Amino acid sequence: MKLRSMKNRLRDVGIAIRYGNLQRPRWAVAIVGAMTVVLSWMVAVTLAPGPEDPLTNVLSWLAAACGFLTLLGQLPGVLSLRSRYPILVIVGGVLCLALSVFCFVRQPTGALLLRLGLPLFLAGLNWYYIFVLSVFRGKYRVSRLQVGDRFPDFCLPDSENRPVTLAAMLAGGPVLMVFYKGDW
Amino acid sequence: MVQLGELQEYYGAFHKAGVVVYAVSVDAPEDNARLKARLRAGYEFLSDAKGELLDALDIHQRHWAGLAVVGVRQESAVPTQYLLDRAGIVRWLSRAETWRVRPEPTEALQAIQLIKPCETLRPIGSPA
Repeated sequence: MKLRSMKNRLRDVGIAIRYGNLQRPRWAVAIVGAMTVVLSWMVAVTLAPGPEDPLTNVLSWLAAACGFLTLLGQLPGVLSLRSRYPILVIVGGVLCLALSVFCFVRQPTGALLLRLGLPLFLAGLNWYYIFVLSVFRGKYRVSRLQVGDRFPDFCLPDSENRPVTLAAMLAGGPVLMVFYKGDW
Repeated sequence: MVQLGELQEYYGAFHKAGVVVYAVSVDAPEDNARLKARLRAGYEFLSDAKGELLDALDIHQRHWAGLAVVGVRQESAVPTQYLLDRAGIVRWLSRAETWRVRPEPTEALQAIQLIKPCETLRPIGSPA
């Protein structure tokens, strides 16, 4: 998979802002909800006593930062739109899990669980999205049509509910048909 | 809907090349009308709500219903692009391996060159 240049990625961000899901109220609610959870977590970990061991204290903060790094790699989906293995999500997830295990083995406390619970959840969620949810896996099917085959005839309604046939489309010239997953 | 926004960014180039662009999904026509207005899209949308064409092409993806809680619909089209010549023959196609890794419009633009220049590189309505 080709990596996109930074210029193209920045252009993708512009497109996302202009045309993307950010314009939808559902996403505004989701973003406000997520920010509320994160702010609550920040208040809780600030008030709760940290691990007594200085090394565990530092490493647990680092693990938490790595958990949020996966979020950073995932939130602007446009940055990883064509990256099969988004580097920030992968590196952040591995480090978050490894450091968390190290900290829990060294000094298992409730405060540590509070500090690392949300970052671990975020890292797990992002990994699930990248490697399970968004991959077609065993259900991956090869398009029946190959280059050189005739496209099957059909009649589907357009955005104004007018029936459109393949023949009518081809009367306008060569056709590019873009199948997309839907407007979620 | 970055993929469709990106398509709109390149729509002028497709139009100039005489290629008609259609975006197809399982969304209802009224949803497509809203999306078209939101994107200010020059291309048209088609609704395959029953998934009949998707089944015929074998690009109909069905998901576990529980994913609805995170906004994933039970049915969707696998992101795929087909470039058809005037005879309805597939001249180029591109399939996504995951939902995240979407086809790029520039790939389709390059593929236009596969169609004979006399068929396509003349804007519709312009003198031959």
